[in-house]
Amino acid sequence: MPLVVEIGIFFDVLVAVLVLGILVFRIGETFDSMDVSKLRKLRE
Amino acid sequence: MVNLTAFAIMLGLAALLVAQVLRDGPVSLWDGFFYADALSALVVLLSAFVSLVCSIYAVGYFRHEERSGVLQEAKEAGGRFAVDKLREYYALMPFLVFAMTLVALANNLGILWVAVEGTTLASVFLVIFYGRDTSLEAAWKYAIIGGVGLSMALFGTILTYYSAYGAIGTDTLAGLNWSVLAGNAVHFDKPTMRLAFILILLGYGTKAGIAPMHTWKPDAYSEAPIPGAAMLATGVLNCALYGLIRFYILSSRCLGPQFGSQFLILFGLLSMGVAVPFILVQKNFRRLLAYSSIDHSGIMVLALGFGGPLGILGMLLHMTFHSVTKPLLFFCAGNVQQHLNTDLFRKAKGGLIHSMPLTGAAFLMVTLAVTGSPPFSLFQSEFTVLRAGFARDHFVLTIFFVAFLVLIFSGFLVHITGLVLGEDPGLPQADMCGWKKYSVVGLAMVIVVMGFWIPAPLFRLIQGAVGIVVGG
Repeated sequence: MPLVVEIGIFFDVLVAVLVLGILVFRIGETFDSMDVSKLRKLRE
Repeated sequence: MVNLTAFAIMLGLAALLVAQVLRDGPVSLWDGFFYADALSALVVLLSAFVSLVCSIYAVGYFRHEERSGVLQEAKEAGGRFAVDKLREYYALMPFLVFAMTLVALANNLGILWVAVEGTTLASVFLVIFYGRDTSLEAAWKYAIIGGVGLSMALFGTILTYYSAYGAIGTDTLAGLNWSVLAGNAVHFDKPTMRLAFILILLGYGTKAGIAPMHTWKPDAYSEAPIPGAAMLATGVLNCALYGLIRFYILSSRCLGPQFGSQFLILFGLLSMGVAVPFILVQKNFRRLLAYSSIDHSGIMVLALGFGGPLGILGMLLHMTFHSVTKPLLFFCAGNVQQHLNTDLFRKAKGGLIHSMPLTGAAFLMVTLAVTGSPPFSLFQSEFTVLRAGFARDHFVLTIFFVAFLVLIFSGFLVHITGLVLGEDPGLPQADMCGWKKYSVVGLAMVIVVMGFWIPAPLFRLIQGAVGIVVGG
């Protein structure tokens, strides 16, 4: 793979981890646990 | 304000690019790092248009949110101050638009993937904008499903590189450049390309919200602020489909069009079919819009699957008209939601036309437009798809296509007329600031005009893009 693409992919993975980290933090704060099975309000 | 000017300048630049592409054919910059042909120019133009319209509406929308104190409530629910929230929105929006533009302009398929992933990352925070527990749930779903989907697309990209390696034999940047790959696609390793196309279809299909990978869509669209949701439903959808088209071209040159088409037709028809029951029984009008979006991406994928000049023309026309029409549907839903403070049909008692005449009328009009009734432009593109289906002898499939369209039309009409028409429930008159009013009226005018007249340069651009896909 060309270098630019690899750098791009690494950058995306880094940002993705940051974003998921923030999400996990917010979920933990809101629900007082990291149990994602508590996330079942949105359904048809 | 800065956003508005920037997006207006961007629309101007996009128009310049279109003019240049129409005049001299494909443009490339920086040793072929950026590459624009008619197809990319079309997507850039649509992205720029949608961003500008949404940012105009966003000013009115967020002023109303600030006044009604929704942002303050979000603060008590664990969020931050209203000003911070607005800053967050106006910082993320340029990132999203940047990624959308990069998707269309990148020549390298790896960069294309990076940019599509960039649109996901920029929009996750748009989904948790209001900081409710439901928004967290929607954002979690969006991030996980989108992430898994895109990792499949990454595998697909790498496999494409691998299958091309024998034919091109270079590991420099050019090894994944679309302009290079498209010329040599006949010599690719066929079994690898088959696998690559399936992975790409699943990956970018997840991003485009094709069933059965569509489940993030209703949640994300109903939780994001309206201008952000409108961007997701049009701009990001176009980007994902653009990636899919690029790989479809490669696979149809390598394996013949038959291989890709069968999957595209299957998934396209499946998405339309899945959208039908959910539209018929929908209780929440924001989710209704999301299912309409799933239906439309299904139509576009189906049209791509029918293939041939007629099918591709139908798809690209549909993409153009959908990007023009869909934002207005979101804006009207946003106005209604802000007026009633709910997005459930049950709580809205109908008769909205009395308390908000402009939005009510626009809502009815755009409902007819988006479900593809004449004289609006989506009718023409759906009719083209229909002709393409019959021209390719897919009689049964085309009859299903029409049946789904009719069911969706009736579902939409029942819900929206129930919401807009009826007895006056005695609600106070809605006050609409200029930003909201002019964005709604302006866009409605564009939709009506597009129903009767497509600007000649735009149509030439679409024809050029058709030529690229079909292989001219």
